[in-house]
Amino acid sequence: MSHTVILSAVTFFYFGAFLLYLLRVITNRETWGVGASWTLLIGFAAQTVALVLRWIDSYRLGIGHAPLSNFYESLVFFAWAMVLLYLLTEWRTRSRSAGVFVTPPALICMAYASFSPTVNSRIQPLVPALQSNWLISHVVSCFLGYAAFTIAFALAVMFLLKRREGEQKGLTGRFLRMLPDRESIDELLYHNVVFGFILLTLGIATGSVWAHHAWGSYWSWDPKETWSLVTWLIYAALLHVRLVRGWRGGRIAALCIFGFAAVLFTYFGVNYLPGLHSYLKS
Amino acid sequence: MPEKDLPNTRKPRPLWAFLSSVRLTVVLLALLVLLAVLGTVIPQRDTAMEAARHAHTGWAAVVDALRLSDVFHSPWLHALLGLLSLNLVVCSLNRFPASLRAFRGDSFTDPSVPPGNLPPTLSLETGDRPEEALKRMEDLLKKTYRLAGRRTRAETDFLYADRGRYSRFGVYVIHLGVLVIIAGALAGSLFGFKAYVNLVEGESSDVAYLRGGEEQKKFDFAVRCDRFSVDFYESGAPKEYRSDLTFLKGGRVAHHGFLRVNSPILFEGFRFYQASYGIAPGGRISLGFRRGAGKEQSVNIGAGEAVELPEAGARVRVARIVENMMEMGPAVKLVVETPKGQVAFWVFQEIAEIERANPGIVRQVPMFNPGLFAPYVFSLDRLERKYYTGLQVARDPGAPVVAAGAFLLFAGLMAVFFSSHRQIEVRVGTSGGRTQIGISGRSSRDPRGLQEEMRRILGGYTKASL
Repeated sequence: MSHTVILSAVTFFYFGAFLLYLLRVITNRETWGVGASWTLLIGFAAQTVALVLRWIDSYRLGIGHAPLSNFYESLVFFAWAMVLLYLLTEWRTRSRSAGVFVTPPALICMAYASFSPTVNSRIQPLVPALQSNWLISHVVSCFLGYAAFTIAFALAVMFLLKRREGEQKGLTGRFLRMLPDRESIDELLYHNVVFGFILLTLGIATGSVWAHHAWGSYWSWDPKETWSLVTWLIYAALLHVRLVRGWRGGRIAALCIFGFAAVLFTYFGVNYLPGLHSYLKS
Repeated sequence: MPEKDLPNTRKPRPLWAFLSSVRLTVVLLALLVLLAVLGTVIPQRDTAMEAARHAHTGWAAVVDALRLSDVFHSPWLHALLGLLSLNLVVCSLNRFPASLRAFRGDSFTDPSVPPGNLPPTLSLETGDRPEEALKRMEDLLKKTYRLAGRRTRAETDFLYADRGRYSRFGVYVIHLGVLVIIAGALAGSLFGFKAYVNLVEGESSDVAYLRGGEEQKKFDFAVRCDRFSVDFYESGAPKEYRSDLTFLKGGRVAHHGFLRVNSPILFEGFRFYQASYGIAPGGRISLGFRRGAGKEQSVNIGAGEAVELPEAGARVRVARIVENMMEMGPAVKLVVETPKGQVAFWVFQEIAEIERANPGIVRQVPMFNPGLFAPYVFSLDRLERKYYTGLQVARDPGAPVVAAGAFLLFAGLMAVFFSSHRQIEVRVGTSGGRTQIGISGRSSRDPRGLQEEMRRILGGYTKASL
């Protein structure tokens, strides 16, 4: 089907963008950066079109629903959200520095969705529990939140590398010198955490309202619910130590990596535990 | 915005200090994380069913003794939530007076606090008269700010303005939201319940069973399932299922409704949910039989019912109807009673296929021979599937409370992260015959944004002068 072909092509655009961002940092020439941004933007536009086509296609099949309902679609939307947030950040901050760190997660998601034999890319009909207007708001807010946390994770890695700037010479040293200063990374990381936290809060809230309608209880301690709460608590702790105790830099970056591990488990890991959210296994 | 605690002039209160510390908050959050993770890794009572409870050996016994097999209803969770609530209340009480002072802006417009404690100033020199400059700056500020005060000192006029001062309370709103959510959850666990009942079409019930199945909840009305229907996709996955329910009160029909997944029915404060469905045991079957080379006959019969075979002086009773017998599909156990004795055997619907896959099975296992009562041969022509609908009944008086708490939490988050308390001081004085306008300010958050805004305000003055 056409949209799956476009989506697998998008993977290569994101890979190209990653290479160009890398070249920009290595050669210290902004020309490569401009190319990277355009490649990423074209890939993003194509992905948006493919998502719309897939949505339309599902109606043609008579099982119309937003492309947010199985594992394949969630991976694609996850990557889309990451690139969207990154492009907005690039535009707002007028800096391409984070690109080389943020494109790989998006690229990995797209590659996994498109080329893993275990991920089914067919449009599947919705089981009764998913036939709800809450599907879109719940999934969109959760995945925008995850995307922001993923960008924060990429920035945390960038921060921890930047800390070793003084020790490194040669190509690595030049690479690290091209990254923005630590305060800027820290600030941007914090903004992403705040955004992710608010969207995760919204995602949990919309999920609760939906669960109240579908499962008869707004909270059932289902593994996915529990792990989303775990993630929420970790980022809540991060915000507290930063805002009240004034933590900055390395310790915040470490917490960010820890929080991201929880995000990953909330998204992928819980599929290996029994629970109500098990339809993502397909 | 790292806030420093005010110097404590009163005598030290170690307990209060402990309860109001953010360190305690972080430790409690970490413990909650640990407990929640344990709750998903260790099989919980609901999912592990009875198996884990009966295995009182080694680990299982330890896990059970520590109440880790039911983490989410354990004293551990309740204790942590209780401590967290206490921590939130004490923390908030501790910090509220400082926030209230900041909200009032007392120290900001207080003449006893010398000016110059504010971050660097942007300034402008103009030929306008000082009174005129002051008036115009006031008008400019009033567009987006609230005028908080003015004073004159050493021939300099000061204007104070602020906005977003309510964001100082955002953090308390968030914490109140968390407390309200915990209170709502507590109310739900104390006064709410969740029960299940399975109804076969046509059946009614005035009770539902609480989790575990031992206790039951009795209603002063009955619910009847008039019809249950399920649609499937081509893949075999369910597309939609629906129960047509009638609620009866004192024998009279009080309400009628269609129950679907995702659209519960509310009746007298109880919410009914379409939770599951299944095939009820003991539906009816079409039983075919023929005597030797005689005519094929068919009878519609249910479990426990019997049909007479007058020629043989026998009576055939349907002992059991099984949906899937030993993975070989639907089967029915027949007992043929004659004055001489009785014979029992199974009749499979797909006997032809079973024989093809296991040649000779009918001879080896006479119990599986549909012709065991010669010269009769029986066949299971059709199994009428009778569905039952799985209803969940719940009442949770805490749910609206939790919803209100979530709303507060979200509103508070917005106030904390998307608005800030900005205070601006404008100074108008003269120096060397020219009017000097200075502007400085402080913000509870986002100092860069404030800097930009001050530049914009001052830019507005210059633009209007041109």
